Amino acid sequence: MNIGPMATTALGWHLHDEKRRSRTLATLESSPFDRVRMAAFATRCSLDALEERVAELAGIGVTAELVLMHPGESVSDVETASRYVRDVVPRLAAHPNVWWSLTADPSRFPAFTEHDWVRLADLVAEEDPGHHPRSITAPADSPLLWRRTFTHGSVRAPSPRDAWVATRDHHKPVLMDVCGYEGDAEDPSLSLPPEKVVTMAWDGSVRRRYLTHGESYVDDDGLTWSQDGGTLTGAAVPRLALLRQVIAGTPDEARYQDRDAPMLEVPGEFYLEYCGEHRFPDRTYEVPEGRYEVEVIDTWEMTVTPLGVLDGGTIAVPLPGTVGQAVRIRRRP
Amino acid sequence: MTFSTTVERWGVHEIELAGPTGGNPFADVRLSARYQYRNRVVEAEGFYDGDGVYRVRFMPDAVGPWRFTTVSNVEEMDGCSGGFDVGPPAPGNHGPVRAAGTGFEYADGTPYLPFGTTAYHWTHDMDEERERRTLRTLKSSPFNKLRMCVLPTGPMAPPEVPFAGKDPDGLDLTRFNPVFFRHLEAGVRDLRDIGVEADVILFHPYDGGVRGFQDMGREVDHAFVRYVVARLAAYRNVWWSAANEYDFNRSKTVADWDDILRTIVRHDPYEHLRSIHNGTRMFEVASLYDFGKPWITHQSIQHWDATPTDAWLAACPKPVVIDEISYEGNIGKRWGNVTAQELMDRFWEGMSRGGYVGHGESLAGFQERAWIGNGGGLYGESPDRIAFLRTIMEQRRDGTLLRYLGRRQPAQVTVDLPAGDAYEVELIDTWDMTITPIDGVHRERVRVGLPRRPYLALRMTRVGDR
Repeated sequence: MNIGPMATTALGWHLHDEKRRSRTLATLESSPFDRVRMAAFATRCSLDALEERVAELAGIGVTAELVLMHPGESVSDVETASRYVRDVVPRLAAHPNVWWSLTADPSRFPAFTEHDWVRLADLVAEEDPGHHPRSITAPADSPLLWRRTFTHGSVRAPSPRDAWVATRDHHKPVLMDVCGYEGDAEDPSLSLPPEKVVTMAWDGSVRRRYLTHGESYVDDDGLTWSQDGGTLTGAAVPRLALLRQVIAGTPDEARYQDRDAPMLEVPGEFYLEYCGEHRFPDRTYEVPEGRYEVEVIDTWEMTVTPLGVLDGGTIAVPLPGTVGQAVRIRRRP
Repeated sequence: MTFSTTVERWGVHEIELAGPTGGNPFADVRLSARYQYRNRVVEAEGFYDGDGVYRVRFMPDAVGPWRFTTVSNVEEMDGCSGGFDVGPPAPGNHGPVRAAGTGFEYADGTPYLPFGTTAYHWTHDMDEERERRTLRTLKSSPFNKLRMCVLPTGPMAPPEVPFAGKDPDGLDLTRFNPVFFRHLEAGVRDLRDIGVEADVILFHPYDGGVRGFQDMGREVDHAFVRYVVARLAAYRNVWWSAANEYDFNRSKTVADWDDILRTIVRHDPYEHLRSIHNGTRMFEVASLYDFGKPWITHQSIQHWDATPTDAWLAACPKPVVIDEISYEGNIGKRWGNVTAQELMDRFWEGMSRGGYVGHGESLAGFQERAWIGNGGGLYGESPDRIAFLRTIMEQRRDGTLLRYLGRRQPAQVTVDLPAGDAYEVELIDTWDMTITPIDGVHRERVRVGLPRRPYLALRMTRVGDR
């Protein structure tokens, strides 16, 4: 299953008029994101319209992750939820660019037990001939994450680091789908500074816990990206574009290692280490004999500084002593 | 026998006796003194100070006439008695600090808010010039507690070590080195005289197998604890930290630490504060000791994150002191290379949740070794901001509400005020150290526009029912 590399959140973008929708699509097309989490909102828009929007996303190469149970959709009992699933899933299942999310927050449905969620997810599977990815966004320690019916884990946590500790033994891919949005809103989860978003995204990526982006700056129409789509204005997005490039150049088989900074590694071939808030003056790496291309990446300034091609053995990499540095080492053929 | 005839309340009374030098006085001779105030008897342990000199130190806690009688298995030191007068404490002497609820106070009831820092080995080099510099730095700093080790680390080669014999490979662990301890306790006294609590760390796991300090065996461990307690407990500013990073010592079990802490309880007549500091696998594991155990007075925690403070307080109703939360620094260790902004954010998170946070500085490039190891000077950006925070915390009164907004950038916040009263509201910039009043007097709910940057706080002060 290809889980990456990068998603954003625009829950109700498709409920707006055509002018705003085309702006949203243009923004997505030029963004680093290739998956958008959106609520199905099938009680507020027609299934025909929803299908058209999903097809438009397919046209720009973006996957629609449809959050089925969204608070405010007046689906507050399991019976209604089952009918909703039977309505929505068969209509959308033929589109190749669809994922299912049962809900982004099970705690908003106090009447639903763990058993109910599993049953609903099974129902989604029963109604889905396309076998699309299927998850529920839950706290990292929730037993729901581990139920067989879900194809991957989807975590709500204050940081990927916290989520990593709780999910490191999970046998399926785990995504950090709810981590807070960049913005200036009153809600602490909607007012993250861009520096924190970029730090979490890098930290999550080198732990293979990819962060889903969100943005909540209010635009001239009084709307925000993550509720209503529109235009992305935050300082994190261009930095996430660099991260996407770096991740795209990371071998699939790279595995997480931790000395005292998280690292993706293919021994003897590839190393990507992220130092985060730690101002290491330098880093050293013990690598097999060979020739290696060494680069220092400043994740905030968006610079990739080549240190040249160095001999294997012990590779010493001087760092500028500021936060947000990453080191990439790749074997030269 | 000689002894002090007058001493202030919570000062140090000392008895000096002449006794045997043969055999092993540290192991063979038992000495204590029973101090009596009216009908209350308090027994203090004595110790051998070398060259045939034995001492008992005692911290009287009541004003008036006291008497003492010594107890010893050596006849000429047994049954020696005397009397002395205890006068009122001198200005600045508020007695030892004790836990009060989830906070602290001095014995005279004066509130004590710990603002600790760390200079683990500031006395070990016996470099008097640097020690005086450390004391000057502390005196002009916001810090009123210092974490310091009794034992040197393996790589260190100090002029004196706590045990007798040839250092490092010919030490006699059954005998102590009075020269070392006289110097250590002078440091504790110097801290007392500038109003700084000495958080004395008895064991640490940094020996690296050089002197064998991590695995001396139960008998030596407990004799060591007893000797340190006998020498230091009479100093009112002493706190006991059984260990730094206790769980990194692979030779001791939690049961061993329980036992060591109980031994401190048994020998310390004054019930100085007692805790034990854990290690971490940063960002993954922090092996906090079970602070619910009765011999623990407060929760000494190492953690990289202050936000679990609420949970720690909810789980155990003893004060939370995050003695180590990463240091302002630039070295190649991640416990010692966070920015001052990062450290201050952690301070405000912890303090605004009802805990206390400790400081350390590991900035290379300013002096031979950084503050965290050997003291000296402080060069970072956090001490001034900790001083600002300390002022804010000390100004809190009943009816003051503090809300830290953290690493967020909201354009505005809405604050719900307790019903019935009027409040003044101020915006605090924790980094720029400014306090800006929000116009007017507010009731029930106030909406405050903000400059869209992190590290802000709000202070709401009740101004009565206007």
